[in-house]
Formats: sequence, C-alpha cells, structure tokens
Amino acid sequence: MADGLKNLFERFKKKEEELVNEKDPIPIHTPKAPAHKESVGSLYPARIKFRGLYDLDGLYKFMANWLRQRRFKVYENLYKSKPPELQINITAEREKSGFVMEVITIYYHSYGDYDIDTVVNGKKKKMTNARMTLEISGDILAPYSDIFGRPRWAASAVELRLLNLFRNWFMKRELESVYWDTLYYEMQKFHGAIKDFMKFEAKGNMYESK
Amino acid sequence: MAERRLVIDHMRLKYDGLFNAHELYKLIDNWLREKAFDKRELRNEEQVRAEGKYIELVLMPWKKISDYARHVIRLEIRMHKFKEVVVEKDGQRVKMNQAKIDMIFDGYLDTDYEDRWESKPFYFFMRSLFDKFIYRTYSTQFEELLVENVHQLHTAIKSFLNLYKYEFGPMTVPEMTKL
Repeated sequence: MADGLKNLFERFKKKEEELVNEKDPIPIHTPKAPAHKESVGSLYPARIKFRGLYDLDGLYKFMANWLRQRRFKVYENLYKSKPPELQINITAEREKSGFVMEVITIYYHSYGDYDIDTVVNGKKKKMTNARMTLEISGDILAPYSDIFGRPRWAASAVELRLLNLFRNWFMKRELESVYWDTLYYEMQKFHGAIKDFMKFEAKGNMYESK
Repeated sequence: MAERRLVIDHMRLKYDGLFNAHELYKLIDNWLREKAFDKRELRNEEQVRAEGKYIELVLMPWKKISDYARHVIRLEIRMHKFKEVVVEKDGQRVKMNQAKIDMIFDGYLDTDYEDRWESKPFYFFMRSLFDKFIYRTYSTQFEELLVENVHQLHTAIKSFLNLYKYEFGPMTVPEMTKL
C-alpha cells in the first residue's frame, strides 16, 4: 500500500520535472486566477455633435452643477488647450455603497474660435464658435479601489475567485438591474438635459417625455 | 461576440415639407417606450449652416426578448435645410419646421448577447446546432416580430408626417422667421 502511494507521488513529481525540461517548448502561461477587473459593465455611450455658436462656459458650469447636485464628485482629468483645439475630460464618481461606485465620464473635444464677443438679449457675452463632440459614457465599478488606488479583493487567487463568484452569481441581477439600469437612465437624463441647454431641435429624453 | 443577424436592411422614408421636429422626436420616444425598447442615442449632431441647420440622429434602441435574443433597431435620421417657419393655420400663426428628411431603418436580431455560448468551441458548435435545427422556429418568430415592429415604427412616422401634408395642403413657400 505504502509503495503504491510512493509510486503515485513519484508520478506527479515526474510530470513537474518534465515541464521544466530545457528541451521542451516553452510552456504557455495559464493563469491560476481570473483576471482582475473593477468594471462590471460600461454603459452605452451617447454622443452629441454640434457646429455653431454656443456658450462653452455655461455648458461647463451646467454639466458640473448637474452632476454635483446628484452627489457626484467631479474631477477634471484633462484640460488641453491648443487653440483652435480644446479637449476636456471629466470624470464624475459617486459611491453607492462600500462595494459599488458609479462613474460618469465626459469627453469634450472642440475645434474653432473661443471667447467671441457677442450680444445676447442686449447683454455682452463671450461665446464659442466651434465644432464640438461631446461623448458621455459611464461605468459601474464593483469593488472600487481604495483611496490610495489599490484594488480590493485582488490580493490572492482565492480572493479573486471569491470575488468573481460573488459578482457573477450572487450580485449579478442586482448589479444589472439596480445599479446598471439606474445609472443608464440617469445618464440618458443628463444627455437630455445637455440637449435642452444647447437648445437642440431633437431635444428631450425618452424616460421623461410626457 | 454576440451574433448579429441583419433582418431589415435600409428601409427608407423620405419627406420634404412642414412638420414639427419636437413632436416627431416625441413620437419616436413614445413609440419606443410603448414597445418597451430601451433607448440608445448613438449620435445627435447639429450643424448651423447658411442654408439652414443640418441635423443627424442615430438611434439604436434595443429590447431583450429573452436571455438569449434581443431586437435592435437602428434608426438614422438626417434633416437637411432645417428651418423654423411661421405658418397660418385656422387664422392663427403657428411655429413649424421645414426640412428635407431622410430616414433609414435597419433591424437586427442579436443572439447570445451575453456571450455565454462562446467560451469554448464545443459550446459554439452546440449553439449553432440549436440555432439551426432545434430552435429554428423561435428564431423565425423573433425575426418576424422584429420585422413587424420596424414596419410599425415606419408606418407611425409616415402617417405622422403625412398628417402635416393633409393639414397644410400642398407645399408653399412659408414666411421665414429670424433664426
């Protein structure tokens, strides 16, 4: 019996030795744990394009205020001004719980003339005459990194497997229907509000139309 | 990646004349809401030009029929020479829009949109097998339903635009407002 067991162990040992044999082809790395990713699923982006005269300062203030009023923390990740080009990236984050965070990202890119003096309703106002693209998208992060940017539940393979199990089975429906859907509708509302502000002809929001 | 089948390819609707853009947009929104479609606005473009605004809208609403299949409609609306005009109706001045509209409808049937049957070659093979032979009737039903939906939307928009033709009669050059 003991010999049988010994042989069995040796068999396993041999296999390991075979793997490190120099003459063999280099083994392909197969990770023991699933890859770590914070994102549960990003939202479908919505894009606004415009060419003409508009109030850039007003638009910026409006977007920031709209997000702040809904308890998002607004960060300007990029402000690149190389006239006539202007690029702004904004990220807004809102912690829903200790595990879930909602993120809305705005990508603004324009090309044209800025700070043009115009008269609107008898008052002097600085406007922008440019062609611009505004892309709004969002994401659900679960679990989100701590304040030092360190990922959570990713220290070992066991933790990663547990996290995947939790996210893909126990929390799946909740993440999809409670968090993803709600944020998507909110993003659509935000999109509609921007169109209203810009006085678009095709303004309105499907989830608010009466 | 999920499999996408093109069921309706470039169904067109053209219109030139008076209409109310906001009402048209609301009609599409309401129709999508009634049919339980989730809205996705891929693009909303506006360009101010000398001859009038150019508006381009790309909508891609979707609706999950089951955990396996979903309907996707792609609606592209292009409006050329979009202007705001004032017309007289029953002795009252009404603000309307005038433009040349070109609409393109596409209908897609997405299957396995959660990519559950693509992780292994065997799963993929099984999916194809089930799609082609076992669940064939279901796939055909889904396709028919999509065709019906797209046709309904097309008809709703067409009748909405035709209504203006009926109300305002043959197209005449209306009074321009200051843009």
